[in-house]
Amino acid sequence: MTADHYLIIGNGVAANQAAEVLREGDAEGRITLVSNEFFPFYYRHRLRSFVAGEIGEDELAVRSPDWYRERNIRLRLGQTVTAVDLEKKIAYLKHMEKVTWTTLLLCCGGRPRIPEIHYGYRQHFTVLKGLRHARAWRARLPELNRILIVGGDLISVRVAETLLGLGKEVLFMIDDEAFWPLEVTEGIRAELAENLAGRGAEIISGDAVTGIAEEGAGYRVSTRRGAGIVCDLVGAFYGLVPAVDFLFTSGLDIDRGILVDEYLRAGRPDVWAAGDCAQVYNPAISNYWVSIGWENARRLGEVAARNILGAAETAVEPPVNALTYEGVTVQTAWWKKLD
Amino acid sequence: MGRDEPAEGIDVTIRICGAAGDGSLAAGGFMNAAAARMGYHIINIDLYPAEIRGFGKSVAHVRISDRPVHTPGTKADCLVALNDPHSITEFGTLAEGAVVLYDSRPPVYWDEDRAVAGFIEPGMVGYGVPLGELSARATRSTRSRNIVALGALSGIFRIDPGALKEGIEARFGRKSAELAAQNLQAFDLGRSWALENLEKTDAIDFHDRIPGQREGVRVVSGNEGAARACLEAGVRLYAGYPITPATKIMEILAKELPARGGVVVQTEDEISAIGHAVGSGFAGTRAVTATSGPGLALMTEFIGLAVMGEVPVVIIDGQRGGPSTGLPTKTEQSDLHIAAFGGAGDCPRPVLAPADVTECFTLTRTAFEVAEAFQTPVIVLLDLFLCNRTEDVNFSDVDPAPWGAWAEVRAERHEGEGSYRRFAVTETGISPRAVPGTPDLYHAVTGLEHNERGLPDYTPENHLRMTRKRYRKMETLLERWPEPELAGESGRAEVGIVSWGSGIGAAREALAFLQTRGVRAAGFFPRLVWPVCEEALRSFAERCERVIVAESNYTGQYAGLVEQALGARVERLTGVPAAPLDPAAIVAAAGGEA
Amino acid sequence: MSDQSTAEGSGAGLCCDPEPAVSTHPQDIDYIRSNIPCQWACPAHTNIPGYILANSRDDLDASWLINRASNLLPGVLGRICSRPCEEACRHGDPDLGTPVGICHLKRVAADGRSLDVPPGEFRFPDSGFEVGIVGAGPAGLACAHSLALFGHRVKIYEMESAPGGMLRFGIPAFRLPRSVIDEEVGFITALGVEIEYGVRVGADVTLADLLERHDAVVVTAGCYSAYELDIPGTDREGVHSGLDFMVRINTGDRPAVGRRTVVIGGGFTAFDCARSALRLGAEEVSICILGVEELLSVTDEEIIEAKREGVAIRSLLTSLEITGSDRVEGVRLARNRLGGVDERGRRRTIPIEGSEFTLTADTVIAAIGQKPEPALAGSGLADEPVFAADGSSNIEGLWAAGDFLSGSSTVIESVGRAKAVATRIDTRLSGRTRREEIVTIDPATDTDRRRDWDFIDRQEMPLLPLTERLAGQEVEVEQGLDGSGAEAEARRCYLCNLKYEIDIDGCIYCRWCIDQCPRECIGLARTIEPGEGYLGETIEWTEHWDKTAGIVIDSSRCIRCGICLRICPTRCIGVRLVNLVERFISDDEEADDDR
Repeated sequence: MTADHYLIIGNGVAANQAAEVLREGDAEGRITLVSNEFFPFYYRHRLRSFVAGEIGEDELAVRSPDWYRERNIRLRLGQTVTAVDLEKKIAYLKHMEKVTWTTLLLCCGGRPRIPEIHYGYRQHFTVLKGLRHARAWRARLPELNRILIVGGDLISVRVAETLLGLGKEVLFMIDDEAFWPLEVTEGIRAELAENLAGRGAEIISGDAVTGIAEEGAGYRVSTRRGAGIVCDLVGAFYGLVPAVDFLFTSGLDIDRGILVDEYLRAGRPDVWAAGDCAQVYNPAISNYWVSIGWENARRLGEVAARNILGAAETAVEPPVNALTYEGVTVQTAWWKKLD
Repeated sequence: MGRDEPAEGIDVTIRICGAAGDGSLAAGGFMNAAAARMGYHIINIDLYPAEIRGFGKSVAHVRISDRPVHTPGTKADCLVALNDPHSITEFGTLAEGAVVLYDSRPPVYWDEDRAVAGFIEPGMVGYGVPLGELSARATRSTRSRNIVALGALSGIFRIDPGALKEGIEARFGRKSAELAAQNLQAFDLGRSWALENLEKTDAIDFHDRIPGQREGVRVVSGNEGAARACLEAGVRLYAGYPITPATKIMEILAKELPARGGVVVQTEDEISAIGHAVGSGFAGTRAVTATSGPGLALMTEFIGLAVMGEVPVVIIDGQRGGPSTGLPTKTEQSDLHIAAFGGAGDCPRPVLAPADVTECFTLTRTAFEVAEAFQTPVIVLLDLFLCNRTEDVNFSDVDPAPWGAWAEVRAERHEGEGSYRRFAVTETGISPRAVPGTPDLYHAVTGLEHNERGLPDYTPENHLRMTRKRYRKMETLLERWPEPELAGESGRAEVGIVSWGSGIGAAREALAFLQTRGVRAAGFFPRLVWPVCEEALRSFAERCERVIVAESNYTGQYAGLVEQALGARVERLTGVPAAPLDPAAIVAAAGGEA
Repeated sequence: MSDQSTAEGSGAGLCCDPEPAVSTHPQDIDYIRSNIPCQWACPAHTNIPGYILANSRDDLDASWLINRASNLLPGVLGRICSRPCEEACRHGDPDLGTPVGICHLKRVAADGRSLDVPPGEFRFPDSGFEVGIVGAGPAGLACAHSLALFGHRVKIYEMESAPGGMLRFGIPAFRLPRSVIDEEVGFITALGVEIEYGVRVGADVTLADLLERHDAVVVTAGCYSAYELDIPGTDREGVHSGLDFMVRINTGDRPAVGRRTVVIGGGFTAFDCARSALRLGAEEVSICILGVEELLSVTDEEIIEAKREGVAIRSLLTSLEITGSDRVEGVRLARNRLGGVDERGRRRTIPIEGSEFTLTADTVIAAIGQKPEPALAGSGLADEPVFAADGSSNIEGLWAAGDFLSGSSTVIESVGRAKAVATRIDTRLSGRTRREEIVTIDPATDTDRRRDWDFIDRQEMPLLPLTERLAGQEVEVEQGLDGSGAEAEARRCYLCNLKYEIDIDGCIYCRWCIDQCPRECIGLARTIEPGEGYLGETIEWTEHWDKTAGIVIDSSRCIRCGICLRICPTRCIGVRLVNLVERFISDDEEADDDR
């Protein structure tokens, strides 16, 4: 066994891209991907089609097991890291195994964010992030007719389109905080609303959820303006927060995500972060940002891997004036700086 | 949850691995019994450690299928790891894409790669379940981790929990209702935890189906089948000496025979054992002894006496690795020669070899009738693999006499002139037999060569006549015995596979596989392995381009008999002695890809 | 409630001594540090397992009294304590789950007791000494209570019109109802402690005056001087100091807040201000902190409730300027990055060049910390008073305690340290030490718990729905654990004050205990060195059977689940009860148990 062990926490596109680049650059070192999801690496953007019943699960996988075997990349699926000791360079796994590393790359991604203001009834929200949720949506879809979508992040737009395409009734409520750390401008809001209304969705603006109660097999949602919306499901799409809770005791600097410099280094020479969990200061917007979307995460995974191998590429160059998300390019000039 | 396309059928092999005391064998037992009760077919073999408690590895290997299966299979689709260090050594037995269920809350931290979870390869599916913790919640100790694991499996694989829980309740309920309730809770905790916390990414799916409740189906081992046969045959004496793998037969009869007015004697050695049995047979009461290779070797002298005196007796031989003490816990098929030929002189006696657990019952049952009908010792060849493995059997469904009924020829009164001739030469070779003590039919029996009246006669002509008579009986048996089983291709075949005993199961699976690959393959599966059915063999060999004899011994003991019968060479596949025949090896020898 | 199959009477032997014992040996006291971490972490050394056991037996009166004996104000602390015990709680270890809701259980006892007043506590006879205390905050009250029990005559000089200090004037009523403060202060004044209100020491009367009147004077005036934001624009209208804001609210005033309130600061006061601003009608409230949320000292529950009510927490921000003409119009901020660690062990925050931006605001509240008033100007003393860390000073008879001495801290720290200062004062006055900490060791016959209780999830505190909360300042948000929640939470405590021991003479080395223990807490000992006291043996562990002197339970890892005790076939595992308690040493040298 050679000395180098690249331990990558995560199994999404950032993690897999990084693993590929690391193996290309280092034929000898051990590479391990550890993820608490049971599923092999899958195409997140195809989840909508999966939910809609258009494709099966076998069309979701990006890579076959052979890909990993050929490259001698180890997969630890369904295994959770509970803590990391940065001094001893040990990752503690939930099933009581200790794994030592020489380089740690955090690609833990994000988990669905439910704003605290909704905590009192969060159990009535249904989220969609990942295959586990997608399976549940797919199973339930035949019985659902009227769906309220709150939040309004970019995923929700696609989900709404899918549901409309299946003939479901969709009500859509856009929230101010859907795109943390950036705010939704009127321009974006208007464009989203127009897009969806054109497909048959009912747009609710200027309102917010204040309560959800079960009613029959569905729900009754109360709002700030006093409305009582009856629906079969309340889908919550308030964006993602980095899934980094397990790192709080490690000593890493964590704000909402793992604070990294422009090279994606997390304050220590052997710890890096990439993808939806990394928070990096972006001078172009005078603010911190966390990447959104597949392509950005893929790019960050690549940059991190190259930097681990010795390069010095910055993650914020070229200046990001646009966020590209699933073919939708959003100009950051449209993003209002936090004022 | 799960895949979209329904599975074609169920054929799942599960290995439950733990340290001695972890309850892996008990868990295997529950799984077998439940699967059988639900209507599945099962084959199971347990691997024991040497020590009673502590460190040895014990593995329950269970194959569950909705079609009848003939071998336990070599690769497992699922490994339940109750003990990490032992389970790590099991990974070589796992099929590609296998499922590994491991304890995700052991008490100590493992270093990297000391935990089972570290060995799971891409393509395999690993599920960590906190077995110890859930066990503690239900029973306040970690002793029920095996039950928690069963619950988890039922959730993940969608196995209907009813039959499993019935079995658990029945077993623990014998001790106390509280213990049963606690273990049922352990099962439920495992099942609900798995359903809530795991995402199913494997392909094993029982769909909660119950193929059909088979009332009266039981999980039975070869030894149990043979013991049952002895009881139903009305055996009144078991004499024997404990020896692996046949000891279980004695244990069962020791429990059951006295209640039926029978006697079990543990003798000082095998010579004494066979002596008891022959004495009983001579007196007209059915007797049996069970042994293994080393014991059979000791018995050959008395077997000779029984042949000479035309006394019925049944000897069950559970073959194991030899020679001498050999490999007491490994299976082999190397006693054929000694069973058929062991002992002094030209000493003919029938040798029967069952193919599966059900036949351990039916064929042994028939052995008693054949022994009396032909006034001869009959040796029934089991092997360790058959002795220990369990299968699902429904005794009420079993045809009690698949090999026909065999009637004795008794002499009740004296007919004809002169004194009674016990060893009268007849057309069939079978002389009417009077049981000692029958009035007017007193006679002598001796191991010396004798005349028809049983009195010593050493003339060469008499010896020839008597020897011929004794062999004539075997020919009569061969004439009356059902045709050997033919399988596969009924016309011309590219390859013919001959096998006997437990090898038949492997050969059957190989045959089925070859046929799916378009190879015209045929099978020849005798249960009467001596005398050799030459005629049937010849017509079989004539229509096969090649003949392969597959058996688990070094020299090809049956192959030699086949060659003798055919007057031509055959191909030998002798596998790895000390292990059951592997269907894949047979397929490879036949030229197909495994 | 506990398993019936426990051993009856632990075996006699090397470890399991059936004789009760009392010890003051430092090694025995140190045993508490690694074995009852909650109690050790509590600045007042509250006997936490002791009171939680009482909770689980539904003996809330006993629980309440155990609390009062150590932390004096269980009703108050059961609501607003910073809970250092819970951070140390074993149940919160990474592989064991979440800490026990120790604080919530304290409140259960305080709210649910049947006693109206505490029964008579042990008191020394009247000593004749008179002690004056400056400030009726938590430190002053704790000091007063202790000194009264010591038999001294105590008078508190309080500048406000009501007692409580920061409890009443800093903490909002929706976190701490005033009635609770009043009742618990009442128990103290019932001992004869006098409080004079409206007296400002340093203005109406000097320290020198007090020193003449009293045999000892303790300054517990707290930190009433708010740090000021050192940036331009703080003089604009609409800018408040956090402390001032809270005092005004707690004295019945309703300061005006506009639509968008920005709070600068990250301590309890900042959060109190933010949540209070919402109740005063602000529509958008945000808290701007220098660093990141994770490093805040307020409790997680506080943060969640603030967010739930709609407060936005903005991290990594340094305030540069408050903009506007006469009125506040905004706050100019720079984004920070985190640097290394400073001398005090805190993360450095460094503004990023070019990151400045302005946050619109019409109200700004600066809650960046408080410091003590400079040694009470106008002390009338010849020498400048200088206080040592133990509360004594360069001036005979002059002492200090609480935040005034240590700087801004927490209520429980003030209470704990003030009691220690009171003991020192008494030692000085009486000439001998009359209160001490002891360790009591008693045989026990019961584990008092079951293993399956270890898997009970932490119970959630019932909370007032949002719609009802913002109705007014006074409505208490946390409702207190109710019946089944309280019972379940009490069962979660491992009862770490039990010590499980194996009697080596009875052990047959069957290893069942090692096989069954959940946590690698029983092992093979090569050598066992008894401690100098009763506890705290030194073990040299081994993995080799042939070098084993005995099988030993590692108390510092043991979670007292009881499995080993139940499973042992020879019943050679027993328990002893180890309690750290305070007691008074009465005049005739008789130890009076203050359990």
